[in-house]
Amino acid sequence: MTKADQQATLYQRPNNQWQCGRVESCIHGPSGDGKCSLANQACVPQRTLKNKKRLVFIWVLCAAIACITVFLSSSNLLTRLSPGPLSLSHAEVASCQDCHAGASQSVGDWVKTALTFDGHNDDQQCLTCHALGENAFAAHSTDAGNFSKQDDQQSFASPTHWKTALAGEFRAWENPEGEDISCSTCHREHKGELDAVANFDPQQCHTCHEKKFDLIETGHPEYSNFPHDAPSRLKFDHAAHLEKHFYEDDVLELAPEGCTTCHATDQTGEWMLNTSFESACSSCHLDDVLGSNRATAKGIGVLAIPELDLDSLNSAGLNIGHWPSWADGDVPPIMQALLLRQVNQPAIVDTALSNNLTLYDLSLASDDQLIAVATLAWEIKRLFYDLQMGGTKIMEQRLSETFGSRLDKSTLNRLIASLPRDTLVNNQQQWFPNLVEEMKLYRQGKIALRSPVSPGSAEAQKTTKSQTGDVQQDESDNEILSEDDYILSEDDDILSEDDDILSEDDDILSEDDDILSEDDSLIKAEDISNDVEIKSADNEAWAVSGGWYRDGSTIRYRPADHGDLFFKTWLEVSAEHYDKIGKALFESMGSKQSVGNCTKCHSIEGDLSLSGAAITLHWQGFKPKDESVDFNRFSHVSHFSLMTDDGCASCHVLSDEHQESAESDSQVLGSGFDNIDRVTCTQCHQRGRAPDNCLTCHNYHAEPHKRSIDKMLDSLLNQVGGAGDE
Amino acid sequence: MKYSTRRWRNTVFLALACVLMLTALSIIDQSLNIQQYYSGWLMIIIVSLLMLFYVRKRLSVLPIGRSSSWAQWHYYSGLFLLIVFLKHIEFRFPNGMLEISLTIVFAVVIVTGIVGGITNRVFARRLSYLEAEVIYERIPAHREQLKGQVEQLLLNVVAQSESNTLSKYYLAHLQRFFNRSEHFLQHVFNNDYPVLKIQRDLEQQLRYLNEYEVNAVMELRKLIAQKNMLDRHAALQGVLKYWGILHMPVATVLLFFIIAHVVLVYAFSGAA
Repeated sequence: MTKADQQATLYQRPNNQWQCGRVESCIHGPSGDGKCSLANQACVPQRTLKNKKRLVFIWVLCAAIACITVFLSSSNLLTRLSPGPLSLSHAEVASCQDCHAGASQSVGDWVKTALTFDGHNDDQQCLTCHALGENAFAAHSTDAGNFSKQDDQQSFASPTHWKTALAGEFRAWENPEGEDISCSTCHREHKGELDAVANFDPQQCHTCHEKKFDLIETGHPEYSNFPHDAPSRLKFDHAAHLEKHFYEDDVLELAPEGCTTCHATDQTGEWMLNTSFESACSSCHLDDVLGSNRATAKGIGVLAIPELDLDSLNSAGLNIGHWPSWADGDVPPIMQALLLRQVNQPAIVDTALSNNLTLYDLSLASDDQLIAVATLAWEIKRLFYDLQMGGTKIMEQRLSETFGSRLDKSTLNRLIASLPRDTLVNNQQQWFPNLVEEMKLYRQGKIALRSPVSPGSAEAQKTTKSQTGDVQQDESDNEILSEDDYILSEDDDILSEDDDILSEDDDILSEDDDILSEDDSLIKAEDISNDVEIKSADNEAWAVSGGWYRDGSTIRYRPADHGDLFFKTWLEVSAEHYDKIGKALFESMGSKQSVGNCTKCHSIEGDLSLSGAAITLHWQGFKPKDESVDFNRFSHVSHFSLMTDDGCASCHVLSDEHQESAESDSQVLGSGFDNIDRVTCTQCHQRGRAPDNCLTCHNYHAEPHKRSIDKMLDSLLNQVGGAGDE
Repeated sequence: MKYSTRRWRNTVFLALACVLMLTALSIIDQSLNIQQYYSGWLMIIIVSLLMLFYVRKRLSVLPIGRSSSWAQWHYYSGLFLLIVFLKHIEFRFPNGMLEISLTIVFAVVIVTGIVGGITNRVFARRLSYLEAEVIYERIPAHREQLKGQVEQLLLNVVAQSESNTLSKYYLAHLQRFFNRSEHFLQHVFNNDYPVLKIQRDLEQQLRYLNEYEVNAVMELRKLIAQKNMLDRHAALQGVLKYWGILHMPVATVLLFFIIAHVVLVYAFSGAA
């Protein structure tokens, strides 16, 4: 047999493209193009192995290129390129474009995008449906300022796994600036319909968290402010009620049987929320709200004729026109709000309304103060005149200007609370029967603030009588428009003989006119006085179901029920506009003695002593949607079966310390319970028993975000609203 | 260094590298990074290094290390690449059409590579155990030569013994054996049963043969053994020469898939 010697086998040319196909030896071999070199004995040249490999290579390559070409020219290329079916969580995703910007681009653009080597290209697309806010890609999708600062003294007894420590080191080295975290870090799609999108290992938490631990039962810090770390929105002293009030004889039958009378889980089963006032509180506290058990007025004063020291004003030669001597009111804060931004001389009126001036005793008042009071009197008259002429529209205008023209129509409506025209006009006619004429003369300058008569003279005394309204009692003819009347003097242009309005032929002012008859009780002061006394008591009792009523020289509003919109809106508006006027309003309506007693239970947030401060009134108890940042989660429903005979007190233990703080400052009334011990949880939540990983009790995305379906609904509603506007 | 020692050393290094790589990737995963980006680029680097082996073969004149050392590097890097790939796909078969195609192509490259590695080691050793060295391209000529010897032997026997029993047996049962390479799979799997059966069947003809023919049978048995050795050379050398005919082209196709995959990953990145 021939030796494997290259020199002896020259006829074999494995490095050439062709070789002789004959079995007999040939020293020449085929030519370069595969033809036999022997002309007489033509052979059949064969491809060498090298040639065959090359041929196969070309064929495989061509086949691959053909397949790729067919693949790329497919009409449903994106579907073919999809790395797999979406999970059920994204079943509503209709097309690739919904999540990938590249899906609407050309292949060339894909290459350009790929050359950026940016692994976050489509992160923004996720936010189309998942509203994670401005800090969507920051750690925990929230501002770093929301992270709680753990006390360095907290014990972290459990050493962490070396891999976790290394992961933290790697993270710090690879991402020293704490750059954004891509959605795909934890959420992986295209793994199949039944595959979970979330692909988060709880141990990954410790990559970023400086305090690392492996076991919750030994390493997790104690709860320092759990479950409550903020004052309660509704001030409720659990300790006082549970240990004292519910055992009082008069409420024993009304006391709740258990916690669930006042607390119920929400739809998720996670939160224990307050039930309604009606079911939890009204049986004992409705009278507080409606004012039934108040010793003083049961309604809040809105419009009033303040009691003025008319003698002092008269002595000073100040003319305020007719002013009822029986007036017994003060200027209510709401009325002050209606006056202060509308007066011509606000500083003067402000002086009159200041606390160091007693309107019904001006004996020690200076001349400037007396002038201020007189000016106030005319401004009050002007208010009533404007109201009579313009109705509640005038109130709307004044309120808008008082609060800076920032109130919407519905708010204004609630502030006015459908003040009945009759209530206003009837009372005004009794209080200021000559208001129209007086205001006309005053505006024309025919009634001067300072009368020309010297103080204490007979003329002054007469003026006093005219001011008090007693003048009518002394006049036998009981005429308002007598010749001696200062207001209706002969020189008066308005009431001249030629004046058509007051002509002899005028039917309105004829002698036969019933309005001005001797029997007319409307303008008799005695009758007025008696009528006021009788009606004030009746009015308040009559308005037991709430609404407007007159009490002396004050028009009051009485709450109809818990949550009365009049009270609520006035408090909200004054809190929102907490300037000088708003502050006075809020202090009046938000005090413990105020009608409605709102702030007894509804907590206030903000510095009440500071004008211009941001004040928030909490009308509602805690609602999950109010939680702007929430790192924790706990399902109450899931734990009900674990309660002992103590019920909710198995975990929630009343705090003794809280009782002391609650007595000192009701504004910071907390839950009234001790912090829950970590052991309460870890007796079950530990390795081998109940779940013990971080995500069992903590949310990664700390800021609650709307689900995609919610956002779609919002979008649809906006579209519908936009179409409606058009 | 002994072959077994070298194999142990390389296997230990490979195992350590795999453990290190898997640990590193799991740490990367835990550090809120996506390990697929890291393992993907690691694979691209490894594939590039593996391709250098082909360049080394083409540039054999350059003094850039022994070819056997390059082959060792190529084998173990290929196995390392397989582990990285499995981690890259998280040890689960992908769902997408492109990813499935890429996985299949990768599997073909890996399988042909492993087959090549095994044959290079096992078949070369088995070839060295054979009695003679035969150039693969000369095997047809040797086979033709043996066939000529057999037929000349039978012609002489017929002339001397005036009997055609043996020649008829040859035409009926042995001519096919000498005409072509036979029993490929049996030779690949080192199975001698076919040739033993041929020789046993031939021996069973002895009682029908005369003295001249019996002597010829003894000679024929040697020629059958030589033909069997030629067939074994053809089978083993054939595998050695032809396994690579699939490995390289498919590896090249794999490069196209890798490029497409990288483009798509970055163009559609971020949204999970």
